[in-house]
Order: sequence, then C-alpha cells, then structure tokens
Amino acid sequence: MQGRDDGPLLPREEAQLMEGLLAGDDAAIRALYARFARPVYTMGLRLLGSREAAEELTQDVFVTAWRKAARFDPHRGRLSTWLMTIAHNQAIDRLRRETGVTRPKLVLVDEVPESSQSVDEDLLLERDAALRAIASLSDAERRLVMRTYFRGMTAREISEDDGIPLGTVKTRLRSALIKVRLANQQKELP
Amino acid sequence: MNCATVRDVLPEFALGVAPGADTTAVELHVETCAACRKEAVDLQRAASSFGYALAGDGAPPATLEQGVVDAVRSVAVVPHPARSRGRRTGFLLLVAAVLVASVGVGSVFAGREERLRLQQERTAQAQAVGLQQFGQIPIDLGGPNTRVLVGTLAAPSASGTGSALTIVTKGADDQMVVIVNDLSRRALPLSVAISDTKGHTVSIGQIHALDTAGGATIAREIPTSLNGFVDVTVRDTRGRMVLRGTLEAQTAVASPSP
Repeated sequence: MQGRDDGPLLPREEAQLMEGLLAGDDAAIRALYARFARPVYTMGLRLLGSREAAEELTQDVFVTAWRKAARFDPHRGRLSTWLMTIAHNQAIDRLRRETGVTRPKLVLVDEVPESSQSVDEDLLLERDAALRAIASLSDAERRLVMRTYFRGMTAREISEDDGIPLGTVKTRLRSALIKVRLANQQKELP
Repeated sequence: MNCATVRDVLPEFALGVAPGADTTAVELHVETCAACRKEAVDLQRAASSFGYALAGDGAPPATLEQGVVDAVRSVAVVPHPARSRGRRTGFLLLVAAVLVASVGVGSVFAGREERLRLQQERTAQAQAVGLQQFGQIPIDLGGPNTRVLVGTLAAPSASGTGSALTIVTKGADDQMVVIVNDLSRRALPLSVAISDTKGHTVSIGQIHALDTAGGATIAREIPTSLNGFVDVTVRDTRGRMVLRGTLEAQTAVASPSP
C-alpha cells in the first residue's frame, strides 16, 4: 500500500501511512513525501520567497507531522488538508516573525503560471479543483482571503488597514470560505 | 469559549491567522464539540484549496527527499528488541533528574516551592512555552525505543492549569506524570485519565489533596502500553471536566557533550 502513489487515499491507508511515519518507517515517509512534498514545497516557495526557506519548511512540516501524528484522525478530515494546514501555519508563523522585510508580494491565483508537464496528474487535479473553487469568489472576496492566507494578515489588521468594522471582515472571510467549501462539495458529487 | 465565540474565530483559525490564545481555545473546544469540529475541518479544507491552487509551481530539489527521510528518522522511534527493565529504571531516574534540573530554566515540572511562585506569574500560554523546552531533554539516552509526549492542560471554564508527560517505551512499562495548579479543593477528589483516539481510556489515579496553590503532582508507572494515548482529562467527583489537554511527541535531540 505504501508504494501506491495514484488516486486518493482511503482513511485506512492514511492511518497506516501515519503509523508508519510515527515508527520512522522509510517506505511510509517516502510515500508521504511523494504525495505531499510538492504542494508543501510550492507553498513555501510562494509564501517565503526562497528555495532555501521552502526546503526548510518542507522538512519542518514532515517532522511536525511525526510529532503530531498521534493526533491525526482520518475520520475527522483528510490527510492532505491536515498536512497543508500544518505547512501553512508554519509558513505564516515564519512570515510574521520576519516582519515583512522578506515578505513576497501579494500572490494572486490569477498569477499562477501554467503547469509544467512534469507535475503529477493527481496534483494537477487537486490544483484544478482548487482553482475552480476559488473562481466561485468575487474579486473582492478573493483578495480578502489572499491577504490572510498568503500574507498572514489577521482580520483586525485588515479591518484597520481598510477602515471597515472587524465584524464585517470576519463575516466576509467566513462567507468566502463557505463559498469555496460549497464549490468543493459540488466537485465531489457524482 | 462557547460555540458562538468559537464560530466567530473559526474563519481566522482555518486561515491560520487566529491569535495564539484563540487558537488554543478553539483546539480545546473542538475536541469535545462535534458540530464545531466539523465546521473547523470544513473551513480548513476550504482554506487548503488556496495552497493547492499554487501546486505545480516549482519542484523540490531531488536531494530534499533524503533530507526529509533522515530528519524524520532522527526523531522517530525505530523498533528495536525489548530492553531490560533495569536499564529502563535507570533511564527514568535520569529523566526525573533532568526534569528537576530544568526548574532553573523555567520548566513547569518544577518542585513544589518553585511551582508556588510560578503559579502566580505564569499563564497557560507560558506553560506551553515551558513545555517546548522538554524538546531539549536528552531523551535519546533512553534509546530509540522511547518516546516522550508532553502537553498542557487547560480548564474549559473555571481557573486551573496543568501539564502532563508520558514516557512510552517498547518492552517496558510506560510512565506518566501529571501536574495541576490553581484548582479548587471543592473539586476533590480529582480523577486523572488518558484516552486514545478510539475511545479507550486508562485511569491514571486520583488526586485527594491540593497544596496552597491548588497544585498536586501524580506520577505512575502504567502496566499497559500508553502508545496512542494522548487525550488527558482531569474530572471532579461529579465527573465534570476540570482540565483537559492533548499530548504531542517531543523531538529527541542528541545528548550534550561530556
């Protein structure tokens, strides 16, 4: 099972991989790396702005996944979401520590370059689905979420920057995420 | 934090920008609230779409895979033959010595007098920072079969803080230490237990007395394996939750040079 690198993982397979990770099993670590290293690395590259930082992030994410492995429950959520959340939280923590000096410019989904042919098909499917879900947002919603997700801005910071009530920012963030969630759910319907 | 407050924080939580204290409170709440947990997972999944939208834009270097494998294997427990109990006991004494020695650098596993002082000036957040220092304990001295998990305990409503640590070793009894602070004597006796994600629970013991700071320490050697047991609860005599928290594995580091 650990060598299987195509198609989505079943909850049982995710649990087995995480057990393997916790035990330091070479095959399990490599199987997880094969599936998730690229999106994690890419996120690091775009958020942190350098290959070195992206490599450090990728390594830190897998070590953190080992550290938190006992808390992962495949019946509560997908492994991909769990790992990407760890990756994003670590990248944002680092961004906020670095006080903006090396902050990359605001990344917009519209600016994402065309994919190269070497990218895994599964990853491309994930990416296309994500882009379709994000396309359900208005430009204003997309920019709002991007400022939090890609720049680590809090709702309060956006509220102060834009001069709009904090509650309004929170409501818009929630509304945007719910739209993406609904688009994801529609994608999963047969 | 009640459901309404949690729902207010969830979008920022899902996007990874909620303030630290809010994040801790949300994580604690969703452990026991299925509805908020589902909402949190759904919103986190939506947020991860933004990360996947960038996928494919750059490939990691070929050398990174081996770096990741080496990094994980350096901290993970790799199965080895069972160790002798005598050596295990020696290791536990060593860990105990390190815990006591760590008082000087602010560990929450402090002596009774030190804890009285610490209890007055430290918040649960500071405890979390202190627990991170356990990552610096030379736990590799116990061998590759040993894993240390630590975590903070927080009160769902009233005052109270705490910390817990388990030492899980293949081929030997496991050990657990729980320290509580700032609790009311009205809640006595307190029952301490630890559960795994499948709902299995191991009773660690009862606390029958608290010191003047509302503190107590309970340490037990557990005849059954605590592997996979991460959810710690402290309940009062009526079964109400007083403290709870989740343990996480700590990174083993090399022993200090002689």
